[in-house]
Amino acid sequence: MITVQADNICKNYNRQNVLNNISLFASEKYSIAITGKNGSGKSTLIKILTRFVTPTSGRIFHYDNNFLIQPEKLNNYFSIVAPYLMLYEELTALEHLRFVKKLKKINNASSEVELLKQFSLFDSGNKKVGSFSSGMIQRLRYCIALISNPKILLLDEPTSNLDSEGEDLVYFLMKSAKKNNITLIFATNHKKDLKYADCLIDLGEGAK
Amino acid sequence: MKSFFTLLYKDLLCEFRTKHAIYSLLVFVLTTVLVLLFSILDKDFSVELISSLFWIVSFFSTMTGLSRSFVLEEEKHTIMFLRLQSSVTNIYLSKLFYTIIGSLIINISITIAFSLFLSGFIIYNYTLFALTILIGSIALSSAATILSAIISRAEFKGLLFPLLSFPIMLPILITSVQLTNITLTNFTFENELNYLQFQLSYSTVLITSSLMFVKYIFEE
Repeated sequence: MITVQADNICKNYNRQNVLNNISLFASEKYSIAITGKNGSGKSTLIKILTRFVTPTSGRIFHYDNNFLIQPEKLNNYFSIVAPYLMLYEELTALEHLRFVKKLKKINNASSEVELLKQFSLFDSGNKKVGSFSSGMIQRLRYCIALISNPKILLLDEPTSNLDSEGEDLVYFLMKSAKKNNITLIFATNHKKDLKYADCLIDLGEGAK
Repeated sequence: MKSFFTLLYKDLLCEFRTKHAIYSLLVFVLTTVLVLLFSILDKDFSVELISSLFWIVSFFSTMTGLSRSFVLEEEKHTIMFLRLQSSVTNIYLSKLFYTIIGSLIINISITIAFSLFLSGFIIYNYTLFALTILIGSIALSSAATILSAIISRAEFKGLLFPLLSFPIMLPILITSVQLTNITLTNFTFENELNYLQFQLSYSTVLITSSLMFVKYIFEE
Protein backbone atom coordinates (compact mmCIF):
# COMPACT_ATOMS: atom_id res chain seq x y z
CA MET A 1 0.00 0.00 0.00
CA ILE A 2 1.31 3.43 -0.97
CA THR A 3 1.06 6.36 1.43
CA VAL A 4 2.11 9.99 1.23
CA GLN A 5 2.71 11.92 4.41
CA ALA A 6 3.64 15.59 4.70
CA ASP A 7 4.35 17.09 8.13
CA ASN A 8 4.31 20.83 8.86
CA ILE A 9 5.45 21.94 5.42
CA CYS A 10 6.62 25.55 5.18
CA LYS A 11 8.03 27.19 2.10
CA ASN A 12 9.58 30.62 1.74
CA TYR A 13 10.56 32.28 -1.52
CA ASN A 14 12.79 35.35 -1.14
CA ARG A 15 11.82 35.64 2.54
CA GLN A 16 8.14 35.58 1.60
CA ASN A 17 6.15 32.85 3.29
CA VAL A 18 4.22 30.83 0.66
CA LEU A 19 3.18 27.77 2.70
CA ASN A 20 2.84 27.67 6.45
CA ASN A 21 2.59 24.41 8.44
CA ILE A 22 0.71 22.31 5.91
CA SER A 23 0.27 18.65 6.80
CA LEU A 24 -1.47 15.92 4.83
CA PHE A 25 -1.80 12.18 4.71
CA ALA A 26 -3.00 10.20 1.70
CA SER A 27 -3.15 6.46 1.31
CA GLU A 28 -4.05 4.13 -1.54
CA LYS A 29 -7.45 4.74 -3.19
CA TYR A 30 -7.63 8.07 -1.36
CA SER A 31 -8.00 11.40 -3.12
CA ILE A 32 -7.17 14.86 -1.82
CA ALA A 33 -8.12 18.17 -3.42
CA ILE A 34 -6.06 21.27 -2.70
CA THR A 35 -7.85 24.55 -3.24
CA GLY A 36 -7.08 28.18 -2.55
CA LYS A 37 -6.86 31.53 -4.20
CA ASN A 38 -4.33 32.33 -6.91
CA GLY A 39 -0.89 32.55 -5.34
CA SER A 40 -1.93 30.59 -2.25
CA GLY A 41 0.77 27.96 -2.89
CA LYS A 42 -1.22 25.10 -4.47
CA SER A 43 1.34 24.45 -7.22
CA THR A 44 4.22 24.85 -4.76
CA LEU A 45 2.66 22.17 -2.54
CA ILE A 46 2.26 19.84 -5.54
CA LYS A 47 5.91 20.42 -6.51
CA ILE A 48 7.00 19.76 -2.92
CA LEU A 49 5.07 16.46 -2.90
CA THR A 50 7.00 15.37 -6.02
CA ARG A 51 10.25 16.45 -4.28
CA PHE A 52 10.91 18.76 -7.22
CA VAL A 53 10.92 21.63 -4.71
CA THR A 54 12.49 21.27 -1.27
CA PRO A 55 10.43 22.70 1.62
CA THR A 56 12.03 25.35 3.82
CA SER A 57 10.97 23.26 6.81
CA GLY A 58 8.84 20.19 7.39
CA ARG A 59 9.21 16.68 6.03
CA ILE A 60 7.72 14.51 3.27
CA PHE A 61 7.54 10.73 3.44
CA HIS A 62 6.44 8.29 0.75
CA TYR A 63 5.86 4.71 1.90
CA ASP A 64 5.37 1.47 -0.01
CA ASN A 65 3.90 -1.15 2.37
CA ASN A 66 5.31 0.79 5.34
CA PHE A 67 8.80 0.86 3.78
CA LEU A 68 10.16 4.32 3.08
CA ILE A 69 10.60 4.88 -0.67
CA GLN A 70 14.10 6.16 -1.41
CA PRO A 71 14.02 9.57 -3.14
CA GLU A 72 15.92 8.24 -6.19
CA LYS A 73 13.23 5.57 -6.73
CA LEU A 74 10.31 7.92 -6.16
CA ASN A 75 9.96 8.81 -9.85
CA ASN A 76 8.79 5.26 -10.54
CA TYR A 77 5.85 5.66 -8.16
CA PHE A 78 4.24 8.91 -9.20
CA SER A 79 3.29 10.92 -12.25
CA ILE A 80 2.27 14.53 -12.54
CA VAL A 81 0.11 16.48 -14.96
CA ALA A 82 0.53 20.23 -14.71
CA PRO A 83 0.42 23.21 -17.07
CA TYR A 84 4.05 24.10 -16.18
CA LEU A 85 5.27 20.64 -17.22
CA MET A 86 6.63 21.59 -20.62
CA LEU A 87 7.36 19.01 -23.32
CA TYR A 88 9.91 18.94 -26.14
CA GLU A 89 8.63 20.73 -29.23
CA GLU A 90 11.10 18.81 -31.43
CA LEU A 91 9.85 15.36 -30.38
CA THR A 92 6.67 13.61 -31.47
CA ALA A 93 3.96 12.36 -29.09
CA LEU A 94 5.06 8.74 -29.59
CA GLU A 95 8.71 9.63 -29.00
CA HIS A 96 7.78 11.30 -25.69
CA LEU A 97 5.95 8.17 -24.55
CA ARG A 98 8.77 5.82 -25.59
CA PHE A 99 11.30 8.16 -23.96
CA VAL A 100 9.45 8.01 -20.61
CA LYS A 101 8.91 4.25 -20.90
CA LYS A 102 12.65 3.68 -21.39
CA LEU A 103 13.70 6.06 -18.62
CA LYS A 104 11.31 4.73 -16.01
CA LYS A 105 12.17 1.10 -16.89
CA ILE A 106 8.72 -0.14 -15.99
CA ASN A 107 7.93 -3.67 -17.07
CA ASN A 108 4.15 -3.47 -16.87
CA ALA A 109 3.98 -0.13 -18.70
CA SER A 110 0.84 0.61 -20.68
CA SER A 111 0.85 0.52 -24.45
CA GLU A 112 1.61 3.95 -25.93
CA VAL A 113 -0.75 3.30 -28.86
CA GLU A 114 -3.66 2.42 -26.55
CA LEU A 115 -3.11 5.56 -24.49
CA LEU A 116 -2.94 7.78 -27.57
CA LYS A 117 -6.21 6.22 -28.77
CA GLN A 118 -7.81 6.75 -25.34
CA PHE A 119 -6.91 10.44 -25.40
CA SER A 120 -7.83 10.90 -29.09
CA LEU A 121 -4.22 11.58 -30.11
CA PHE A 122 -3.61 8.47 -32.19
CA ASP A 123 -3.70 10.36 -35.50
CA SER A 124 -1.19 12.89 -34.15
CA GLY A 125 1.17 10.29 -32.68
CA ASN A 126 3.89 10.99 -35.23
CA LYS A 127 3.47 14.76 -35.23
CA LYS A 128 5.92 17.01 -33.39
CA VAL A 129 4.63 18.50 -30.14
CA GLY A 130 5.56 21.95 -31.49
CA SER A 131 2.54 21.71 -33.80
CA PHE A 132 0.12 20.68 -31.01
CA SER A 133 -2.56 22.93 -29.53
CA SER A 134 -2.53 23.55 -25.77
CA GLY A 135 -5.40 21.06 -25.35
CA MET A 136 -3.52 18.36 -27.25
CA ILE A 137 -0.43 18.99 -25.11
CA GLN A 138 -2.55 18.57 -21.97
CA ARG A 139 -3.92 15.27 -23.34
CA LEU A 140 -0.36 14.13 -24.09
CA ARG A 141 0.64 15.03 -20.52
CA TYR A 142 -2.03 12.58 -19.34
CA CYS A 143 -0.72 9.87 -21.70
CA ILE A 144 2.81 10.43 -20.36
CA ALA A 145 1.57 10.35 -16.77
CA LEU A 146 -0.37 7.13 -17.26
CA ILE A 147 2.16 5.16 -19.30
CA SER A 148 4.09 4.17 -16.19
CA ASN A 149 0.94 3.01 -14.31
CA PRO A 150 1.66 5.37 -11.38
CA LYS A 151 0.67 4.59 -7.80
CA ILE A 152 0.44 8.30 -6.97
CA LEU A 153 -1.10 10.72 -9.44
CA LEU A 154 -0.62 14.45 -8.91
CA LEU A 155 -2.75 16.81 -10.99
CA ASP A 156 -2.39 20.58 -11.02
CA GLU A 157 -5.41 22.22 -12.66
CA PRO A 158 -6.54 18.84 -14.08
CA THR A 159 -8.90 20.16 -16.75
CA SER A 160 -6.99 23.24 -17.91
CA ASN A 161 -6.96 23.77 -21.71
CA LEU A 162 -9.26 20.80 -22.28
CA ASP A 163 -12.52 20.77 -24.25
CA SER A 164 -15.64 19.12 -22.79
CA GLU A 165 -14.69 15.71 -24.25
CA GLY A 166 -11.23 16.04 -22.66
CA GLU A 167 -12.78 17.08 -19.35
CA ASP A 168 -15.00 13.99 -19.38
CA LEU A 169 -11.93 11.81 -19.97
CA VAL A 170 -10.16 13.41 -17.00
CA TYR A 171 -13.21 13.03 -14.76
CA PHE A 172 -13.47 9.38 -15.76
CA LEU A 173 -9.79 8.97 -14.87
CA MET A 174 -10.26 10.70 -11.50
CA LYS A 175 -13.31 8.59 -10.79
CA SER A 176 -11.55 5.33 -11.67
CA ALA A 177 -8.44 6.21 -9.63
CA LYS A 178 -9.91 4.43 -6.58
CA LYS A 179 -10.67 1.29 -8.61
CA ASN A 180 -7.10 1.29 -9.94
CA ASN A 181 -5.53 1.68 -6.46
CA ILE A 182 -4.16 5.12 -7.28
CA THR A 183 -3.55 7.81 -4.66
CA LEU A 184 -4.89 10.99 -6.23
CA ILE A 185 -3.82 14.48 -5.17
CA PHE A 186 -5.02 17.43 -7.23
CA ALA A 187 -4.95 21.19 -7.02
CA THR A 188 -7.92 23.02 -8.46
CA ASN A 189 -10.17 26.03 -8.27
CA HIS A 190 -13.06 24.41 -10.15
CA LYS A 191 -15.95 23.36 -7.91
CA LYS A 192 -16.85 20.66 -10.46
CA ASP A 193 -13.54 18.87 -9.71
CA LEU A 194 -14.08 18.75 -5.97
CA LYS A 195 -16.63 15.93 -6.04
CA TYR A 196 -13.81 13.53 -6.91
CA ALA A 197 -12.00 14.27 -3.63
CA ASP A 198 -12.37 12.41 -0.32
CA CYS A 199 -10.72 15.25 1.53
CA LEU A 200 -10.19 18.96 0.92
CA ILE A 201 -7.25 21.14 1.90
CA ASP A 202 -8.14 24.81 1.56
CA LEU A 203 -5.08 27.06 1.49
CA GLY A 204 -7.35 30.12 1.49
CA GLU A 205 -5.36 33.19 0.58
CA GLY A 206 -2.12 31.42 1.41
CA ALA A 207 0.43 32.20 4.11
CA LYS A 208 1.11 35.91 4.59
CA MET B 1 23.44 3.13 -18.15
CA LYS B 2 20.39 2.64 -20.40
CA SER B 3 18.86 5.87 -19.02
CA PHE B 4 22.04 7.74 -19.87
CA PHE B 5 21.95 6.56 -23.49
CA THR B 6 18.22 7.37 -23.75
CA LEU B 7 18.85 10.91 -22.50
CA LEU B 8 21.84 11.37 -24.82
CA TYR B 9 19.79 10.08 -27.76
CA LYS B 10 17.03 12.57 -26.89
CA ASP B 11 19.54 15.47 -26.86
CA LEU B 12 21.11 14.41 -30.16
CA LEU B 13 17.68 13.89 -31.77
CA CYS B 14 16.46 17.34 -30.66
CA GLU B 15 19.69 18.90 -31.98
CA PHE B 16 19.43 16.96 -35.25
CA ARG B 17 15.85 18.20 -35.73
CA THR B 18 16.57 21.88 -35.01
CA LYS B 19 20.27 22.04 -35.97
CA HIS B 20 20.49 25.32 -33.99
CA ALA B 21 23.76 24.62 -32.23
CA ILE B 22 25.56 22.83 -35.03
CA TYR B 23 24.76 25.48 -37.68
CA SER B 24 25.72 28.39 -35.42
CA LEU B 25 28.96 26.62 -34.49
CA LEU B 26 29.96 25.80 -38.05
CA VAL B 27 29.17 29.34 -39.21
CA PHE B 28 31.21 30.68 -36.27
CA VAL B 29 34.21 28.47 -37.17
CA LEU B 30 34.02 29.29 -40.88
CA THR B 31 33.63 33.05 -40.28
CA THR B 32 36.59 33.18 -37.90
CA VAL B 33 38.87 31.25 -40.25
CA LEU B 34 37.86 33.35 -43.28
CA VAL B 35 38.40 36.62 -41.38
CA LEU B 36 41.84 35.35 -40.38
CA LEU B 37 42.62 34.33 -43.94
CA PHE B 38 41.68 37.71 -45.41
CA SER B 39 43.52 39.62 -42.69
CA ILE B 40 46.82 37.82 -43.16
CA LEU B 41 46.73 37.13 -46.92
CA ASP B 42 50.35 36.31 -47.85
CA LYS B 43 51.84 36.73 -44.39
CA ASP B 44 52.95 33.65 -42.49
CA PHE B 45 51.63 32.97 -39.02
CA SER B 46 53.92 31.63 -36.34
CA VAL B 47 53.09 28.18 -34.93
CA GLU B 48 52.43 29.73 -31.50
CA LEU B 49 49.88 32.13 -32.99
CA ILE B 50 48.13 29.38 -34.98
CA SER B 51 47.86 27.19 -31.85
CA SER B 52 46.46 30.09 -29.83
CA LEU B 53 43.94 30.93 -32.57
CA PHE B 54 42.90 27.28 -32.79
CA TRP B 55 41.95 27.14 -29.12
CA ILE B 56 40.45 30.65 -29.05
CA VAL B 57 38.04 29.59 -31.83
CA SER B 58 37.38 26.29 -30.03
CA PHE B 59 36.75 28.04 -26.68
CA PHE B 60 34.34 30.62 -28.08
CA SER B 61 32.52 28.05 -30.23
CA THR B 62 32.03 25.77 -27.23
CA MET B 63 30.87 28.70 -25.12
CA THR B 64 28.50 29.94 -27.84
CA GLY B 65 26.63 26.77 -28.67
CA LEU B 66 27.33 23.87 -26.39
CA SER B 67 27.51 25.57 -23.02
CA ARG B 68 23.76 26.16 -23.19
CA SER B 69 22.79 22.51 -22.67
CA PHE B 70 21.29 23.01 -19.18
CA VAL B 71 20.41 26.68 -19.79
CA LEU B 72 18.20 25.67 -22.74
CA GLU B 73 16.32 23.10 -20.64
CA GLU B 74 15.71 25.78 -18.02
CA GLU B 75 14.68 28.42 -20.56
CA LYS B 76 12.26 26.06 -22.32
CA HIS B 77 10.99 24.90 -18.88
CA THR B 78 11.60 21.26 -19.87
CA ILE B 79 13.97 20.61 -16.95
CA MET B 80 11.07 19.60 -14.69
CA PHE B 81 9.84 16.99 -17.20
CA LEU B 82 13.39 15.66 -17.46
CA ARG B 83 13.97 15.56 -13.71
CA LEU B 84 10.70 13.73 -13.12
CA GLN B 85 11.81 10.96 -15.49
CA SER B 86 15.44 10.50 -14.49
CA SER B 87 18.07 11.27 -11.86
CA VAL B 88 20.06 14.51 -11.99
CA THR B 89 23.26 12.44 -12.23
CA ASN B 90 22.08 10.71 -15.42
CA ILE B 91 20.95 14.05 -16.85
CA TYR B 92 24.37 15.57 -16.06
CA LEU B 93 26.22 12.64 -17.69
CA SER B 94 24.12 12.82 -20.86
CA LYS B 95 24.71 16.58 -21.11
CA LEU B 96 28.45 16.05 -20.54
CA PHE B 97 28.71 13.49 -23.36
CA TYR B 98 26.56 15.65 -25.62
CA THR B 99 28.97 18.55 -25.04
CA ILE B 100 32.02 16.31 -25.60
CA ILE B 101 30.57 15.06 -28.93
CA GLY B 102 29.81 18.64 -29.98
CA SER B 103 33.23 19.88 -28.88
CA LEU B 104 34.94 17.10 -30.87
CA ILE B 105 32.92 18.03 -33.98
CA ILE B 106 33.96 21.68 -33.51
CA ASN B 107 37.65 20.83 -33.07
CA ILE B 108 37.66 18.50 -36.09
CA SER B 109 35.94 21.24 -38.15
CA ILE B 110 38.55 23.79 -37.01
CA THR B 111 41.33 21.33 -37.92
CA ILE B 112 39.86 20.84 -41.42
CA ALA B 113 39.35 24.61 -41.91
CA PHE B 114 42.87 25.47 -40.66
CA SER B 115 44.43 22.73 -42.84
CA LEU B 116 42.61 24.07 -45.91
CA PHE B 117 43.17 27.78 -45.40
CA LEU B 118 46.29 28.30 -43.23
CA SER B 119 49.54 27.28 -44.91
CA GLY B 120 51.43 27.27 -41.60
CA PHE B 121 49.14 24.65 -40.09
CA ILE B 122 51.08 21.42 -40.65
CA ILE B 123 50.69 18.58 -38.17
CA TYR B 124 53.87 16.60 -37.52
CA ASN B 125 52.73 14.42 -34.65
CA TYR B 126 49.28 13.06 -35.53
CA THR B 127 48.90 10.82 -32.47
CA LEU B 128 49.66 13.64 -30.06
CA PHE B 129 47.41 16.02 -32.01
CA ALA B 130 44.50 13.55 -31.84
CA LEU B 131 45.09 13.09 -28.09
CA THR B 132 45.26 16.86 -27.58
CA ILE B 133 41.95 17.34 -29.38
CA LEU B 134 40.28 14.46 -27.52
CA ILE B 135 41.49 15.29 -24.00
CA GLY B 136 41.16 19.05 -24.58
CA SER B 137 37.53 18.52 -25.69
CA ILE B 138 36.79 16.41 -22.60
CA ALA B 139 38.38 19.00 -20.30
CA LEU B 140 36.59 21.97 -21.89
CA SER B 141 33.28 20.07 -21.91
CA SER B 142 33.56 19.02 -18.26
CA ALA B 143 33.97 22.68 -17.27
CA ALA B 144 31.30 23.94 -19.70
CA THR B 145 28.68 21.37 -18.57
CA ILE B 146 28.87 22.05 -14.84
CA LEU B 147 29.03 25.81 -15.46
CA SER B 148 25.92 25.49 -17.63
CA ALA B 149 24.14 23.66 -14.79
CA ILE B 150 25.12 26.32 -12.23
CA ILE B 151 24.29 29.25 -14.50
CA SER B 152 20.94 27.78 -15.60
CA ARG B 153 19.72 28.39 -12.04
CA ALA B 154 20.98 31.98 -11.89
CA GLU B 155 19.73 35.30 -13.10
CA PHE B 156 21.96 37.36 -15.45
CA LYS B 157 23.03 34.19 -17.28
CA GLY B 158 24.64 36.10 -20.15
CA LEU B 159 27.00 37.96 -17.82
CA LEU B 160 27.87 35.06 -15.56
CA PHE B 161 29.00 32.59 -18.20
CA PRO B 162 32.06 34.40 -19.60
CA LEU B 163 32.87 35.71 -16.12
CA LEU B 164 33.03 32.23 -14.57
CA SER B 165 34.26 30.25 -17.55
CA PHE B 166 37.41 32.25 -18.23
CA PRO B 167 39.29 31.56 -14.94
CA ILE B 168 38.07 27.95 -14.82
CA MET B 169 39.05 27.12 -18.39
CA LEU B 170 42.28 29.14 -18.55
CA PRO B 171 44.56 26.26 -17.39
CA ILE B 172 43.05 23.99 -20.05
CA LEU B 173 43.46 26.57 -22.78
CA ILE B 174 47.10 27.26 -21.85
CA THR B 175 48.06 23.55 -21.80
CA SER B 176 46.08 22.83 -24.98
CA VAL B 177 47.92 25.65 -26.78
CA GLN B 178 51.26 24.27 -25.55
CA LEU B 179 50.38 20.75 -26.71
CA THR B 180 49.22 22.02 -30.12
CA ASN B 181 52.52 23.94 -30.44
CA ILE B 182 54.38 20.68 -29.96
CA THR B 183 52.32 18.84 -32.58
CA LEU B 184 52.86 21.60 -35.13
CA THR B 185 56.66 21.63 -34.79
CA ASN B 186 59.02 18.93 -35.88
CA PHE B 187 60.75 18.74 -32.52
CA THR B 188 60.37 16.41 -29.58
CA PHE B 189 59.62 17.85 -26.19
CA GLU B 190 59.60 16.34 -22.75
CA ASN B 191 56.65 18.23 -21.38
CA GLU B 192 53.85 16.80 -23.51
CA LEU B 193 53.16 13.93 -21.13
CA ASN B 194 52.93 16.35 -18.18
CA TYR B 195 50.45 18.52 -20.06
CA LEU B 196 48.29 15.52 -20.99
CA GLN B 197 48.43 14.22 -17.41
CA PHE B 198 47.41 17.65 -16.14
CA GLN B 199 44.42 17.81 -18.51
CA LEU B 200 43.31 14.29 -17.60
CA SER B 201 43.58 15.05 -13.86
CA TYR B 202 41.69 18.31 -14.33
CA SER B 203 38.85 16.53 -16.15
CA THR B 204 38.73 13.68 -13.63
CA VAL B 205 38.56 16.04 -10.63
CA LEU B 206 35.96 18.27 -12.28
CA ILE B 207 33.71 15.40 -13.46
CA THR B 208 33.94 13.58 -10.10
CA SER B 209 33.12 16.69 -8.07
CA SER B 210 30.33 17.58 -10.53
CA LEU B 211 28.79 14.11 -10.11
CA MET B 212 28.91 14.56 -6.33
CA PHE B 213 27.40 18.02 -6.19
CA VAL B 214 25.20 18.44 -9.28
CA LYS B 215 22.03 17.33 -7.44
CA TYR B 216 22.39 20.24 -4.99
CA ILE B 217 22.37 22.74 -7.85
CA PHE B 218 18.80 21.76 -8.69
CA GLU B 219 17.42 21.91 -5.16
CA GLU B 220 14.80 24.65 -4.96
